[in-house]
Amino acid sequence: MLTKLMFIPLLFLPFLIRAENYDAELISQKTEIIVSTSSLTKKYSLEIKINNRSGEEYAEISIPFSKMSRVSKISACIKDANGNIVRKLKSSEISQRSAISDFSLYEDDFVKEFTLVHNQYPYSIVCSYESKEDDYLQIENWNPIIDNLIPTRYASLKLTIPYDYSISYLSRLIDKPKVDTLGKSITYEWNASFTNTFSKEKFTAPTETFVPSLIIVPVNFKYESVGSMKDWISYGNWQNSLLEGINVLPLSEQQKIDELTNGVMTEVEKIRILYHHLQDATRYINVTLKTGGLKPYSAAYVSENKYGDCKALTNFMKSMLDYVGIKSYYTKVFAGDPIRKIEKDFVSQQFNHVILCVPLSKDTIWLDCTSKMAFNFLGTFTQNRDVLIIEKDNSHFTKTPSLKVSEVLESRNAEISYSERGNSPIVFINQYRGEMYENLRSMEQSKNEIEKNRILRNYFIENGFELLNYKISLCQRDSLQISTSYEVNAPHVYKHYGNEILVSNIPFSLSQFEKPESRKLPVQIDYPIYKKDTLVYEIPALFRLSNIPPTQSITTRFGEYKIEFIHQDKSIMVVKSLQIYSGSYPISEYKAFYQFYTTVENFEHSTFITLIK
Amino acid sequence: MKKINVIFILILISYSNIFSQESVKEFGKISIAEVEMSEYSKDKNADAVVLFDKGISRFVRTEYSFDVLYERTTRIKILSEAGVKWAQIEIPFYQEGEIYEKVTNIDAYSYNIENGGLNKTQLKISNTYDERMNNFWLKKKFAIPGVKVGSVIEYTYKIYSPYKFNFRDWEFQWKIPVIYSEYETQMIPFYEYTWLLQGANKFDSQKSYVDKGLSRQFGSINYQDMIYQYVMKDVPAFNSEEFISSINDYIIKIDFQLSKIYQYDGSKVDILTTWEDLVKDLIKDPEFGKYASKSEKLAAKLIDIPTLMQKSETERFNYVIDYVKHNYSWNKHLGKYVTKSPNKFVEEKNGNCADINLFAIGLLRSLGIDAHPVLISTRENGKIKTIYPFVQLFNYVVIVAKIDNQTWLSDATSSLCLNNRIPEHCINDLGLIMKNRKDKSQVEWIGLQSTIPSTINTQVGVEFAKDKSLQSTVTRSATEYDALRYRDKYFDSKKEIKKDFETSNLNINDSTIEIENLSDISKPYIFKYVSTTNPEIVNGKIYISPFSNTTISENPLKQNVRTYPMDMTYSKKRTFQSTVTIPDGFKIEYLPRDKKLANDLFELNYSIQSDEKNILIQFDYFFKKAIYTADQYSQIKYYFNEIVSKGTDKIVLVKK
Repeated sequence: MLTKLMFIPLLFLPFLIRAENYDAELISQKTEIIVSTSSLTKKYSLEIKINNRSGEEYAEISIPFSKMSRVSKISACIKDANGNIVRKLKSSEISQRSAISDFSLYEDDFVKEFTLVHNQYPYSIVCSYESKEDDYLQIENWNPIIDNLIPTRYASLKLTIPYDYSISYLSRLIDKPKVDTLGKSITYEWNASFTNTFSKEKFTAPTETFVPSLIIVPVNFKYESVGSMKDWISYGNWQNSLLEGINVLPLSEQQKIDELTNGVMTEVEKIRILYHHLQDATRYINVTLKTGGLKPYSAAYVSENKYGDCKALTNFMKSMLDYVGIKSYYTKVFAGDPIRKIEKDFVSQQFNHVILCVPLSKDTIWLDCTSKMAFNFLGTFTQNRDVLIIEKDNSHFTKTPSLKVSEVLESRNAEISYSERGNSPIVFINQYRGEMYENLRSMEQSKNEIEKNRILRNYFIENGFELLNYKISLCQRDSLQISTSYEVNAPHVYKHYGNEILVSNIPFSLSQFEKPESRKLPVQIDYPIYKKDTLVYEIPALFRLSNIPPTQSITTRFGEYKIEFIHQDKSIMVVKSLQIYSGSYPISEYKAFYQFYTTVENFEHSTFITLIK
Repeated sequence: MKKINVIFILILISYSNIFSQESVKEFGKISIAEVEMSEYSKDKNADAVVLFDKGISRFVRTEYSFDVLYERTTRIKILSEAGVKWAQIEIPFYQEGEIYEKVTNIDAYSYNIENGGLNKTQLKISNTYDERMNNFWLKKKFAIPGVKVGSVIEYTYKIYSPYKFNFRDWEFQWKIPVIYSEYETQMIPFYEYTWLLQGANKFDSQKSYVDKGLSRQFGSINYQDMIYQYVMKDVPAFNSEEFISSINDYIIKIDFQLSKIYQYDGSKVDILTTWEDLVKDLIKDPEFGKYASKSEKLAAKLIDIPTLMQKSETERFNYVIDYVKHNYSWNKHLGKYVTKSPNKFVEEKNGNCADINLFAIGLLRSLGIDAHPVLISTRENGKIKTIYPFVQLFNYVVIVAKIDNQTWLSDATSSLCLNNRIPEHCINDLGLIMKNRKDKSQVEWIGLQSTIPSTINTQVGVEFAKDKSLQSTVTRSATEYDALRYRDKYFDSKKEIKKDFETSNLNINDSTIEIENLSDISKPYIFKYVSTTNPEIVNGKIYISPFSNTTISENPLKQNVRTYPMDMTYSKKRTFQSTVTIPDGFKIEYLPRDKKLANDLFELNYSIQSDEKNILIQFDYFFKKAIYTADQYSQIKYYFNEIVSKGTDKIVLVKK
C-alpha cells in the first residue's frame, strides 16, 4: 500500500522524462521459415521494449494478412523490467480492418491490430504469431526494424528448405548466412542489427537503402501459373504468360478504333490518337484481389467498365495497338520518388508500376497509361530508370529517357510596381515544365475552383504575398509546358529607411536542406532543377538608383547561379538563373554541396538595389 | 424543440412548386437533356452537380419487431475531369452484435451519348466491395463503370437496419451543388422522433400526410404510415475554409433522434424528451454514471484514502488527476460511453476518454471531492445546440470539479495539459454537466472556453561579436495553451526548436539551447538559445532585425473574402522586448516609428527608446477574442499585416 503512496510532486510528471536515448527498442525479432513442397510456413516472434510514454506509439502491433497469407496463433504479453509477465493479450483485444492503399478502390489485404500498454517504464511487449502461404513469389522480404528512429538489437532469420529446392536472395547491411545441411533439408541463418538510426532527409536514396534488409525468392514458383526466376528471360516469360489471351477487344471497341484511325497515315499519329482515346474514355481505378497484383484485368474488362489500374490500362492500350498492327511492350518499372535502383543481378519482382514501350523505326514512344498528361511524357514518376521490357523469350532491360535541363525549366516574369502605401502590386507571367508542370496540370484536372484557389494562395505563390487573382492557361493537351499568370500584393518590397529605399529581391523558392552537422545520409537528386527569373522593378518618381549592382555568378560541380542587373529608363531589370544538376554525392561531399546551396540562398535573400533621392 | 407530430400542421407547399425542375426524379428515367447538359448555369465552375438526391426511411416488419429500411437514389451530372471522382461511391454501414446492417439492391448506371444515341453501362454487383474500417464499421465501395466528362451517373441502394435510435442523417448540401434533395420519413405509431435542421432556417418544402395505401397491422393495432417529406432545392456547394471549427457546424443537414416508444399495450417509454431526462438516464447508465460509482468503490484498493483525506482539496484533486495521467493512457478514441469495466480498465491501463475520465471521477469522489462528468462535443464534431436534446451530438467526456469553491474543468487523457484545463480539441462552446439537481427542472451548462489569454513572451538581446557577426540571445516563455502546444511539439527536443528558428543564414549552436520547466507544467514552458547571423550591410550601412526571426514573417490569413466565422480557439497575447547594443564607433541612422492600435478586438503597441549605447524596443499585440465573425475578417487580416510589418522592421546603423 505504501508504495502506491509515494507522493509525486504536484503537477510534476516524471514518467514523461526520457530516461533512455530511444523511446523504444526492438530487442529481438526472430523469424523461422519452413518451405515444404506445398506451402510456406513462417513463425515470427518479437520483443519490443517501451522506454517511456512517447514510445507507446510502438506498443501498437499490427499484423498484415490476406487470403493468400493466413495468420494464426497470435499471442502476446507484457513483461515488466524484471521479465515477469504482467498480463497476457486476450483474443477479444485484437481488432481487424482492411488495409487498402490510398490509390486503390479495394484490395483484399487486412491487418490485425492490438495495443499493449503498462504504467511502469520500461516494459516489454513479447509477441508471436504464424502465417501460412500456398502461392508466393517471394519467400520473405525481411526488414527487421520497426522504424528508422528505433534501433534493433538483435534479429535473426532461419530458413529451412528441402535439399533439392533452390532459392536466391539479396541482402543489404546483413552478413552472409550460416548454412547447414541436415538430412534432407538445408538451413540458412542470417543475423542482423540496426543501430544507425536516422530521421528522414531531403534528396536522398530510398529509406530501405539505409536499413538492413533481405529478400529471398524461390527460383521456381507457382503464382497464378508456374514460373522461374532463373534469369530475367524466364521471369519475363512467366509475366508474359499472364498477359496471354487478354488482349481481345470487343467488336464495338474495334469499330471505334477503325473510326478513329481511318485515313491516319503515320504510326506516331495512330498511337497519339489511340492514347488520347484511352485518356478520354477511361479512368484509373485500382482493385487488387489475390494475384491481381501481377495479373492484369483483360482488355474486354477495361472496354466494358472504362476503368482499370496501371496493368489493365497498359494492357488495354497494348491491345489497341495490337489491333492496328503496331508492336508495343508491356514494361515493368519501379516508379516514384526517389528512384530506387533495380538490382539486375537479382531476378525477382522489384517493380511497382507498368508502362508501355512502343519502339518505332526512329524513336521510341513511352506511354504511362494512367496519366492524363501529354503524349509520350513519362515525367518525374518514371523518368531515368531501368525498366524490364516483357517479351516472349526476349525480356530485357532498357532505360527510360531522363528529364533534361531544358525540360524542367521554371521561369517567372514579374513586373513590380511601387506603391506609397507599402503594398506593391506585382504581375507574374510564368512558364513551368517538369515537376511544377505535373503539379499544376494534375491540380487543374482534379480540383475545383475553390480548392485550386486555396492551394495556390497557401502553397504556390511566393511567401508572404497575397494572391489577388490568377489564371492558369489551358495548354494544348500534348504540351509539356503550362503557363500561369497572377497578380499579388507584396508588402515591403520597397522599404523606406529615411531618404533611402531598399528594394528586396524576389527569391527562388528553394527547399531547406539539413545543415552539414546534422545531415546523415548521402545526396541523390533524380532530375535537375532549373529556375529562371526576369524581374522588372519600377523606379518611383524622384528616386534614382544609388548604383548598378555588379553581375554575380557561381559555378560549381553541383550547379550554377547567376544574377545580373540591367538599368532601363524608369526601371531596373534583374535577370537570374539557377541550375542544380542531377546526381548522387556521398556524405563526404555534402558540405561542399551545402556550401553552394546556401551561397545561392544567401544571394537570393540579399538586398542589391537601393534607391536614393 | 420540434416534434414530428407538430410538423403535421405546418404549412404545406403546393405540389407543383416542389417539382419545378424539369427532370423526372426517378431511377432509370433519364432525359437526353441531362446527358447533353454541359454546364450548370447557377455555378459555372461546378465539377459536377447533383441532379436529384432522394432518400426514404421507413419501417418494415420483421418477425417480432421492425427494421428501418433506408432507400436512396442519387443522380449526378459529371461536368469536368475533376468531377469524375463523384462516380466512386462509398456507403458506410454498421455490423456489430445485434445491430447487423445490410446494404442490398445496389443498382448503378452511367449514361453517355454515343453515336447520337443514349448509351448506358450498368455496374456489375461482382464489382462491389466491402472495406472493413474497424470492428464495427464497414464501407460498401464501387466505381460506376463507363464514366467520363459529360456522363450522367445514377445509383440506388437499400440499407436494412435494426437500429432505431437514430435514423440516417440527411445532408442536403454536398461539396458540389445540389439541384433537388428530398428526404422522406414514413412513421409508424410506435416510434416518435425529434429532428434538427442545421445550416438553414427552413426547407423549400415540407409536408406530411397519412399514407394512402392499405393499413398495416402490428399485434392488434391497425395503423397507417404517417409520411413526412423535407425538400431543399438549388443548394450551393459547401466550401470549407481555413480556421473554422468544423464543417459539421455549417453544412446543411437534418438529424433524427428517437424520442418515444409507444408500446402496443398502450404504454409509452420516453427515450429522450428533455435534457433533464438525458442527465437522469445517463447517470443511471451502467456505461456512464454507474461506471463512476463502481470506480469509486474500487478506489480504496488503488489509493490510500485515509492518508489522502488529510490533504487539502487541491492536493487531493491533483493527486488523483496525476495518478490517472501517470498510470493510464488514452487510446485516442472518443466516445461518451465507457468501453470496458473499471476492473478491466485497471488491468489494461488504457481506454477511451469516457473510461479514463469517469474512472478519475470515481476516484475523486472517493476522496470527498464534488466531481461530475461533463458531456461535450469536440471541435471537429461540431457545436451542441442547447435547445435540442440530441444526445448523439455528444462524443466526449471531461470532468468538472468544485475545488475550494472554484469550478475546475479537467481531462485526465492529456498529460501535458494543466490539471485544471481541458485540451484544445475540447474547447467547443458548451458542455452539459451530468449531475442530479434538487431542482430537476433544469440542467446546468458550462462554458468550455478558457478566459485566460495564452501568452508568449520573447526577450532578445542583440550584440556584435568580435568576429563582426550578430549574436542574439533569445528567451521565449509560453503560458497556458501556448505552453501546451510547445510541450506537445518540442517537449525535450532541441532539434525541433532548432529546426523552427534556424534559417540558412541564421545558425543556432546546439550547446546554447536550454529548456526550462519541461515537465513542471504549472510553470511557463521556457526555451533559450543563442543565434548567430551576419548582419545585412548595404552601401556601408548595417540593417538589423531586432527580433531576430522570432516574429511571424507572413500573414496567415490569405483569403480575400470570408464566409464563416474564424475560430482561433483561445485568445492570444504576444510580447517582445529587444535590446540592441550599438557597437563602438557606430551611431543610429534610422529607427522604426512607434505605433499604437487599440480597440475591442485587438491591441498593438510598438515603442522604441534609445541612447548612445542601447536601443530598446517593446512590441506587443493581443487578439482579445477566440472567435471573430466573418465581417471582422478583413480587419483581423489587416492587423496581421501590421504585425508582420512591425515585427520585421529594421534598425539602421552607420559609422560615426
